[in-house]
Amino acid sequence: MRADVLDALVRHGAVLDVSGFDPRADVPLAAWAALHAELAYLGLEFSDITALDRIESVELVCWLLLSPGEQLSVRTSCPDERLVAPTLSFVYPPAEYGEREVYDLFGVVFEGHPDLSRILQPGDATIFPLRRSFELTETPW
Amino acid sequence: MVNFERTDAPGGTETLLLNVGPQHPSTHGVLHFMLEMAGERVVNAKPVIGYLHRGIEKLAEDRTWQQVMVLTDRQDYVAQFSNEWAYCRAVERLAGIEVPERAEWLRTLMCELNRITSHLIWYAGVTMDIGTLGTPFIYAWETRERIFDFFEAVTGARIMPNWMRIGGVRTDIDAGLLAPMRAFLADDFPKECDVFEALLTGNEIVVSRMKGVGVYTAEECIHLGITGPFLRASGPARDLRRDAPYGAYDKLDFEVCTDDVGDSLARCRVRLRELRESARMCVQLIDRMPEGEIAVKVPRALKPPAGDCYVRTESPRGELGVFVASDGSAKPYRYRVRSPIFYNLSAMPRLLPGHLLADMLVIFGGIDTSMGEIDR
Amino acid sequence: MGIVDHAEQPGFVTTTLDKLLRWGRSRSLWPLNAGIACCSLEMMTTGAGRYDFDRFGIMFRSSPRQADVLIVPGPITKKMKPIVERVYNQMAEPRWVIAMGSCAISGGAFADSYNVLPGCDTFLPVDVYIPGCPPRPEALIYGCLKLKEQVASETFIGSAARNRTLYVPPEMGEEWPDELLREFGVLPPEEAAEARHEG
Repeated sequence: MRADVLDALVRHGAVLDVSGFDPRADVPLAAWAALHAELAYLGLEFSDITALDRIESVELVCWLLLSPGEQLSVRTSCPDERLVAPTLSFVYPPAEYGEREVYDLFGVVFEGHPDLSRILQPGDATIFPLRRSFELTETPW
Repeated sequence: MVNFERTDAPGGTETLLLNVGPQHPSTHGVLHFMLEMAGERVVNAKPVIGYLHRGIEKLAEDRTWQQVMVLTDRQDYVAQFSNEWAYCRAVERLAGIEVPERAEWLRTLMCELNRITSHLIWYAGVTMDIGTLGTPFIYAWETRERIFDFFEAVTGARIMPNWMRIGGVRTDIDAGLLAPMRAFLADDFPKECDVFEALLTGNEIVVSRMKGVGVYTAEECIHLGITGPFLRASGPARDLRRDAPYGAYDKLDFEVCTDDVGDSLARCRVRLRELRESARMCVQLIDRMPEGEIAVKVPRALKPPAGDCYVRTESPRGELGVFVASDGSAKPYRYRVRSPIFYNLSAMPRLLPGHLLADMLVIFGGIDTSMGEIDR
Repeated sequence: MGIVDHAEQPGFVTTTLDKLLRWGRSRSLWPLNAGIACCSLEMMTTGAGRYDFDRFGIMFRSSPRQADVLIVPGPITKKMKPIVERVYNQMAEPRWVIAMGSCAISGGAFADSYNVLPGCDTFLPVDVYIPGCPPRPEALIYGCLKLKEQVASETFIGSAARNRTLYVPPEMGEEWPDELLREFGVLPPEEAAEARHEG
């Protein structure tokens, strides 16, 4: 990994793990926006933002490209009692829609998002289906 | 609820809210664009998606690892083999399954044929939108039918093949099936490509409607997260088949098709050249296909170790990513599809304003949407 | 009896007219060019060169006002339901519905999804169900020919025919927020009535 990227990750309190399939950096939620701003400045491109429901928390995963062939995942955790995270829309424009989808399916509210509305489900939907607590029934109607 | 801000156009006139879609012959699926028009110019554009949201990501959590294959076909319903392959690669990487060489070559062959059929749908759609009353559409469809005959002979289905398995592929292709396909790709297909090009880039009206329309620079596109032929038409030779090779791509000789103008005509040219490149690749694959097994034995109740894995492939529309997470059970914990057109579409509100309505449909044709993938 | 009821009694002129109408309508069923999901690819294929639809008089029309048949190719999601209803309402009678593919019949591969309706017959009167995922073009042609048989045997004259189609009330639909409509000068019915009385 490039030295400046490594330096930025360490400075924002990331715990780096290169033993898995791809390098992985876990950062505290407070450093989420600042770290991404710095990584965008260093030239890392955006691939995807998504979430995983870990029951007591929702893990946000952002995939960035170290080079066209290598990817790095930057992860953070939002506690279940307070599903709020800072937005990355101004740092990475594609994240705007990605975060709307995470809100729609998981219920994570992104502070500072220009238009946090439901994107895939109808506008008046009340469920957050991709939480593990939401069970699929065989005949939902 | 749509947060729609009304802006008054210069001169003190009002703007018009125009809905394009979701039922519209030119939106290629159920895409809804809310356009704010000042006369013929688009002032504000907002895509509304979700009309085809079937909850595939949630349904996958209720299926076994093999059963998810049926759902993957139906995401990007135009390029099914790409979806299947992306999912298979992700699970195989997670579970540490090594796929035999022949299976990789077979997968590459079908994926490249699928790229041809996908680009032909794009071609048929974009020429219909421009106003050619159906000639290129019928020609492209007939070529698709020839390739569908092959798909049906191999997999048993025309468009929803469900052919790839975790660990390999379902059926083998013998030489008797490959020989006529090779003859078609080597001899007839280049002539048909000439016809397709003549009908598009040799047509004065089409060229004048596309030339200089929607010029975007490479930096703009990369910053807005656009990938695929849309990006390659602006210059950068970004292709995951070259940058992060998988399957048999590192053993093939092909060129990454780019263009440096970045307008709609360039996007058309890139895709037409990719048709030829894919045919060349298929001929190489058929000629040099190794013998061997087509699949490894994978337990019926596959239980990959806990962890997660992200794999990116080059679908005909761009960078298709699959993120799978496992908790060691027989069902996926999380199945996420990074859809290329979802992110390409997110750039549209920034790229469309300022263009004429007629140009908007042309730029839109350049994205090559497939709603199943955007909405999943 | 009024003139209309008189005219609707079966007599020589009306039955001949009825036969003519049945003959004409069954041989020119014009479906709407409305594609939803994967089945629309097979629908387009059936309209293309190899499995030509046109030889049966079946031409795709882009506007619902000009279409007779609504072929529903794909799953109906909660968000799509008001759109399909509105399109169906815009079609002029007589109109028919073909449910193409297992998603339109019962929800199909997505039957247990939170967002997919269990079939379009929950809100539309379906005449022909074509199973398949997707149905082959030959299956779609067979389904359309079945519809053609049905149309050729239906009578269009008489009060029984008038009660045939479902009338879905043409409301504005829940997808339009009130504030947005107000900005464009569209008021809810009560306020519009007041405005008219005042003006």
